Amino acid sequence: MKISEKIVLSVPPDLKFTSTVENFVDVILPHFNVENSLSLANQLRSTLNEAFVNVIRHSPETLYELVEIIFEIDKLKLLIHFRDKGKGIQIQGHFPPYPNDFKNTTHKILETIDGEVVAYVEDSNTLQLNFNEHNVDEIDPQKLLEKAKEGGMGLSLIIKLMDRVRFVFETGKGNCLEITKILETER
Amino acid sequence: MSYSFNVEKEILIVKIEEKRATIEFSGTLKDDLLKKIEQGNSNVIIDLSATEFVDSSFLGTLVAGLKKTAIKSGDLKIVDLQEPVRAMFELTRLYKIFEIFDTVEDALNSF
Repeated sequence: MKISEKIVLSVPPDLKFTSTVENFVDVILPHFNVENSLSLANQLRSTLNEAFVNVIRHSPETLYELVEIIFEIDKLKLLIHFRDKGKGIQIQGHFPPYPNDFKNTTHKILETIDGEVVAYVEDSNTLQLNFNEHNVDEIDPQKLLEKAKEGGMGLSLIIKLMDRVRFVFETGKGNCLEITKILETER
Repeated sequence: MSYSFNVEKEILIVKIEEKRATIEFSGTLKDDLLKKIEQGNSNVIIDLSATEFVDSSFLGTLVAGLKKTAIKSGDLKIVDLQEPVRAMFELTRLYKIFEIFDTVEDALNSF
């Protein structure tokens, strides 16, 4: 697939720039001729917020460098890359690169009231994140309240709102949260 | 100030004054809210009528408040969601644990 355009945003690693990152949606969206762009704008705004906060909160190494967000714009999809200098996601005591025997295995990362975020190990440097949803209608609201947690919703939101979410680790370079959104173009 | 507190019919009403209810103030809101609940305000209404955007950090603060009121045999109810905010309650399924009302008056009468 040919990537037609690339836009790079570098932001200080400070939560006061969260709205700046969110508002970058208004820069990106005019590049697409998409249906229901208001809904897409809201989805992207939430995704950018959650991903930026996730990088700052979980990668202390990032706090000394600008956070680099790369938008690759294609006619049919939008790729968003959040690069950081963090160690990546820990699985069974291992940070990436993961042991070879982890390949093609799936691991629970966290739980929310309505399901769990799981990571599928594509290779020793790459995780694909998915959300296994539970039917909350079958769960007693009191049990849901007991299960509810303050944290952990951010990553699950990104996965629900976008079409593909991966963490890719590169030795010496750090970690990259890769987010893909397939776009419905106007007919 | 990003939010204000008011007590009506012995119920604490928290009015969120910001269009964006996000991580920039959710931490201080959580501290203030939990303190108010601890001081005896076990029934709470969160008025979101002015808010157009919420993030998971703010939603986490609401969950913390709800859990605290439940411990005190009270409740925390939500009022007046704009469409993008309602979408977030649906996406996270938090609408299953929060009671949501159209107006503050409806919420007040539900306690």
